Amino acid sequence: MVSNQDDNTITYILRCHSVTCLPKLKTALLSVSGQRYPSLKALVAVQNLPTDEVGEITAAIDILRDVTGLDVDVTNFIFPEGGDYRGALLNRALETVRSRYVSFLDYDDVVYPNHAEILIRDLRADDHACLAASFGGCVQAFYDDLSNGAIYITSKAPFVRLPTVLSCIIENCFPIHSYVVDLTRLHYVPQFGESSPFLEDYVFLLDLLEHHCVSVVSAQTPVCEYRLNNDGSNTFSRGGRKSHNKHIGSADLRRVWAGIEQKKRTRCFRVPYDEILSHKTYETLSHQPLIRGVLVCYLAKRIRKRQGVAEAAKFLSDPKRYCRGLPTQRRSLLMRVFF
Amino acid sequence: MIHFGIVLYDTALADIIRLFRSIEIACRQACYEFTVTFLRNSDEHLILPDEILNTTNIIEYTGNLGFGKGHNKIVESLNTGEGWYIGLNPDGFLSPWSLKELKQWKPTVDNFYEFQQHPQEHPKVFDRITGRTAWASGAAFLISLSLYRDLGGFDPMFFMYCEDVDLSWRVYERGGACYNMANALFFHDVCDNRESVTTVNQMLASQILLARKWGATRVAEEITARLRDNEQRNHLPKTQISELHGRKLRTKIPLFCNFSSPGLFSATRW
Repeated sequence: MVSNQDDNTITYILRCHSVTCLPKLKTALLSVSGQRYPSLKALVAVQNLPTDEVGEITAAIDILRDVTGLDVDVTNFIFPEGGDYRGALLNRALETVRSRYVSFLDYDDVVYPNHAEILIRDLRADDHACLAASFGGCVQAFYDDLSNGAIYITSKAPFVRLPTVLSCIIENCFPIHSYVVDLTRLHYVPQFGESSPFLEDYVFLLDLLEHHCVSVVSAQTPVCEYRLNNDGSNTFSRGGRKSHNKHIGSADLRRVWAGIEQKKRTRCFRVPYDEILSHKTYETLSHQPLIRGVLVCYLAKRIRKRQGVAEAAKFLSDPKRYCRGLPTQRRSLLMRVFF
Repeated sequence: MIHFGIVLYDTALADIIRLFRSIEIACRQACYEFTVTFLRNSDEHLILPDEILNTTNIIEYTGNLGFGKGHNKIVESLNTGEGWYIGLNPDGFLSPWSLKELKQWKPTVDNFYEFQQHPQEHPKVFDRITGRTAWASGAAFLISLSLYRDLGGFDPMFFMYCEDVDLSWRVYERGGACYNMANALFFHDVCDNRESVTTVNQMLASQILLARKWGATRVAEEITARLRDNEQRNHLPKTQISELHGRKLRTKIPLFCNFSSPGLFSATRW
């Protein structure tokens, strides 16, 4: 990775695992190609795909290139068969990047047109050599799949209410597409976790925050959308707290969490002084177990009474996701306020 | 045959070229014949490249007509009552696959269709199976020329904003319906569309006209109070609101009109 300080291009690395992802990959690429920022590249990183599937993806991408002039390539990274290499895939793709800025995107998420413009502006506004990344706000959108690759978004909400460096260290709150990294300012290149398919992006962020300063000036300005299928099918591909809910019982995940907690305890991170002064703002309902417990029980009882045991069980498996997945009209006042 | 109409207003050349290419490629993908008409609504010096000049119709600037009147003038210039009309905002572009997807919706001449805006969708509710929705957005829409002409096009009373809601409701009044085509995407940058006070006031002024026209007198009064308050707080001159003399005013709000969500005119998903 040799980046040129005079080349202000941003490369978007799009992670895609299979040709079945193509309809959603097209929408992700469409969102990249419409960026207001003028100098763009995209790299679609796929793993262990047969040649005909790579050809199918390349053909789709060629059409988009004709419309928008987006400089986009597909690279098929080969790994030993039978494993999940989501972290390694991003690391290998990152090694090939030659532009100054880089951002990451999963095939089923989107960036807003202001994404690169705002985050690169924040990086340029501060010429401190240590400032290596800027973070933007993220909106999480819950959706149901419709036919022919279309989706129906059922609800949207900010990914977290107060995204800060501190909250990111305590509990990963920045998805991979909510930041841009300036590669010329990295004196240590962070790595996505490769030892496990979980929380690979959290490992990257902790690495980044340990060695560099980051800007969170635009952390509350929405610049991207984190799309979550209401059936939980794409939870697996997520890093951060969204994935551990589903796999909380998994011994592998517990091991990764323990490793991360250990890393956090034994390392030093750079937290802006302002955040340390106002650290109480991080306190949220999720840290008041008694109130949350009572509320969840009350809602579960009401759902059981009205819609039966099965629906109540669905709610109890993940109350926040259940509430946010409901259409606005079906969300009670309590659900709207607390979830 | 599909006729595309685009109303330009201070549009960057790069945006025009991108939109034109997207139309060409989307039509090629779906094997549609098409025409493109641009209407200049601003007097800027813009030299269009030959690839566009030689293959499109350009209606030259005769003053800023506004959005609805601009589309009406384009449709008037087509001299045909057959085929389909697609109106597109100049600051966006069609997904190359959008028109191929459109076939699946089997559009009919009595209805009014909107493309799905991407990456930030409008929050209004639509039916997951049929796509039926409360109104169709004017940012990227499809309508049969016969229906457009029968309805008299957009109401010229609206300079900008809400003309699409009004047209949608007239479609419903006539027995048709509005549909969202969820997988036919139109890229549209709406990140900071509603930031300026002037824009907000223009929207409110149009909402007042819409409410008065469709019999929601109390709603019109409420919005007028908000508009005047906005003007006062920002030291802006009073926005002129057209009178509705000689127009068909509804005395009772029809059932398909929704004034409960201010500015959204529909139940919303978030």
